[in-house]
Amino acid sequence: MIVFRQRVSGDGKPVRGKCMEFGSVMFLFRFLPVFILCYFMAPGRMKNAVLFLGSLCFYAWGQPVYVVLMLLSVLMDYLHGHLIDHYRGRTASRVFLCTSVLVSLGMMFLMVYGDYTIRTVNSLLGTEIPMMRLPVPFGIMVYTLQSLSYVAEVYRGRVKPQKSILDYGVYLSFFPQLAAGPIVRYPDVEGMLHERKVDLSGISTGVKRFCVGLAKKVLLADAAGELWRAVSVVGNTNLSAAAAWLGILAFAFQIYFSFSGYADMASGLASCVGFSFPENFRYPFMARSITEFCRNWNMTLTKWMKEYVYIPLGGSRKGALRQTVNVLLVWSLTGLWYGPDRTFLLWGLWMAVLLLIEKFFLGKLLEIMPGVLNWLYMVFLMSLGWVIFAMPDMQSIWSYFLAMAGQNQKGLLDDRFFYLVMEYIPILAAGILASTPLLSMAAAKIREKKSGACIALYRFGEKVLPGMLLLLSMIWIVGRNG
Amino acid sequence: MKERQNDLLTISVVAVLLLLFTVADLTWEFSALFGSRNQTAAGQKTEGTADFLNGRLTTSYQEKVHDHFINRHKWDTLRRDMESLMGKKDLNGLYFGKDGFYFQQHFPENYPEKRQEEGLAFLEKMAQEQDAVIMLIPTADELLQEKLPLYAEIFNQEAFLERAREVAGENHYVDMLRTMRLHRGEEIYFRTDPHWTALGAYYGYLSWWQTAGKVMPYYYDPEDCQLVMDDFQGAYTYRLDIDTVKERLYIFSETKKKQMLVRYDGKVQRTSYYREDALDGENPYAYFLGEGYGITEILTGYDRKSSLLVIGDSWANCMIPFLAPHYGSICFVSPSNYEGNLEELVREWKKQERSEILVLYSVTGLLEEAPWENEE
Repeated sequence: MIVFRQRVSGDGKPVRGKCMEFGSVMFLFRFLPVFILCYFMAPGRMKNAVLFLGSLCFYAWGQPVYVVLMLLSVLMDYLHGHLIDHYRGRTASRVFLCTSVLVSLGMMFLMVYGDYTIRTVNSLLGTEIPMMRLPVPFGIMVYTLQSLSYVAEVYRGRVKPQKSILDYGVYLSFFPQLAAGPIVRYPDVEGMLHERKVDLSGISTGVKRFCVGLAKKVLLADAAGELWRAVSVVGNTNLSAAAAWLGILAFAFQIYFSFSGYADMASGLASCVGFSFPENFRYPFMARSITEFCRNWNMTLTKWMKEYVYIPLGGSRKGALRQTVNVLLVWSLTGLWYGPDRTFLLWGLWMAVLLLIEKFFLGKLLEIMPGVLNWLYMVFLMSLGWVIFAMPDMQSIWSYFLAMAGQNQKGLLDDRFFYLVMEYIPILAAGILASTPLLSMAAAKIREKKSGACIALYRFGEKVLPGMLLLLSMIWIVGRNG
Repeated sequence: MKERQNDLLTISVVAVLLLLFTVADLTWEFSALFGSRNQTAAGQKTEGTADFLNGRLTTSYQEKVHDHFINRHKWDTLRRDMESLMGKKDLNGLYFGKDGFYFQQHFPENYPEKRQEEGLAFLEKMAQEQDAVIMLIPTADELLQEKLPLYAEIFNQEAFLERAREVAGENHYVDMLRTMRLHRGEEIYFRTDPHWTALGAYYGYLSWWQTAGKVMPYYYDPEDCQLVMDDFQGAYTYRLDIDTVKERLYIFSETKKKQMLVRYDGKVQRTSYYREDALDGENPYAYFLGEGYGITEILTGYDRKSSLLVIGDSWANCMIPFLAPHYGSICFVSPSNYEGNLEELVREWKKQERSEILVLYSVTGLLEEAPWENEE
């Protein structure tokens, strides 16, 4: 999971999982070349061993001590999978499912939500329970969900327990997706763990995807983050309405390009070693309703929640009231997945309420409304949602809303807005372009042509674009501007 | 077949880029390992198992690999140039201005009303109760607004100075905004440093002299300035890590002629206002009277009965040499470095005969350093 707003422990000190960033010199010019060389030099049956060891090294880089935690998780899930299968049809099977779920969730709760819970209890009851101040293990929010997916699917009998602990280790610890997903359900990759095809086309696709993801993260998300910081340091009460809207647009770009950039890099690397990962984003900012946005945003997380929480709770089959409760619960959990803070919870509830309103009241109206109005409606409500997501407390949320409404002394427009727009106009333009399907539509149109200068240029660009994006990203990664 | 060639080309371009820089950087790192770049390694603290387990060791290695990447400085420059081409007009809290000027970003929100009121109360107290002369110098961004990037937002120093004039009273207030505006076309501010030049300080001195009703004992001729160096690089060049921008550093020759003694914090002694050793450091402006001292005492060498207490920030360093001929001794206290109680110091000072006080700050320096906090 990527932390956009630093998670804060009980005593106000930020805590986060340390890791080796994909967009770092260490990863690109040390880890990745060595890993790729080892992987392709290893004989067929040793490839998974290289993957597992490589993932453990990657994982150990930030917090070596937590490798033990990862190994324990692999071992526990592997054993539980077999025990659940062995006692299938008996109570013991359910007991082992419960213990597996409890251990996985308990570990995640303790590490990620422990101090937040203590802080809440202390403030509510006036107690002075000391904080644990545990560093958050990198990737725990991703691999816990993957672990739960495995035991649940084994319990349901949809998949067989994994025979090889090494293969299961690869599934759980595979480093590309640990940072921010996609959250890969076990059935989606079960076959590939044992046998997968690596060909030139797959590697080429992976390389392209990785370079695009890297550029999204390094060139767009980080720059959008800078713009967001430039707006947020002003203070909510000193913001004009235009600057506040610009700021939240920058935040939305930062979060989107970070998540989708990481997902692209993960899918690209996975493709290079023969895996095929599910898509995680499908142009969510082009959605025409909140429902559509949610369908296209962090799709693997949404699917996981639907598969393992919403449907087991009854989904929409047990009446409107039960469905309402289920939606509220699922989105509360989704909100908390992003971070242990009440504003993340509030963001989840905000999304749930909007989804329910669309489900029960606005659905028909949205169908007949013009597309542009639908899109504006989605952008407006999602912008308010991003404010909730971005702000650390309720007071800040409210003051930011006031700024967006032009209720500050700065009014609607100020020099800061024009200054920032002029400074970040290339980033904003690139962000808008990259968050729409315009580029891929244009590429498809060109591909339809059989000959001409346009197609020749396109063919050439297609071959060198990944290299150019990599070089540009390298300049931004190695060169520091501060 | 065609597709296969295309795939191969795509993969090759990326693989060559990655491998080329990996090999080049590793070669660079290994050659440095046996060269001068690693000479400090022996003196470094040895990391233990705990540092490894909690990730400190790997993090520090990661930073080292980044910092020592092959031709790091060129990558930095390349990135900065590209960002500049894309329209970036500020970095590390500095605006890139026209004509080679860099300006500190003084945002309005950095100087909230409460802070301004506290500053005004301090000035009022110093002027009305201690009979101090108040001298607040507007910084370059206020004076040279036409050189700022379009729509760059800055703190309105003029409005604050107007309020300062009111609380200090005309007799105690040196109108530096007017003075600096009169000379705004001259080189009164450094381009690469946040301070004023010796010429700016000279005009400040003239203004002070008129307000304080002094007889001018010494004539300084701006035409007779001495060039100290023509490749002066102020603090901004270090902050931006650039070495291409250079300017000239002048001083007034007369200020060097008289025998005098400077004592820093009661310990270090020197016989000049000017510190040649500072010119190679990260703050070459410290050439003027050094930096980082709480109390700088100066025996001017002039046979005068009166003495002056200057309460101020580093902007005062540049002007003190001009004040010297008026006083037998000058005590310069920099509240941001002074650990004692400023109010007590002022009280003790006023017990002396013919003792005067000058409060000399840049506008933003006063509000940022908040000398009134040293009174609590």
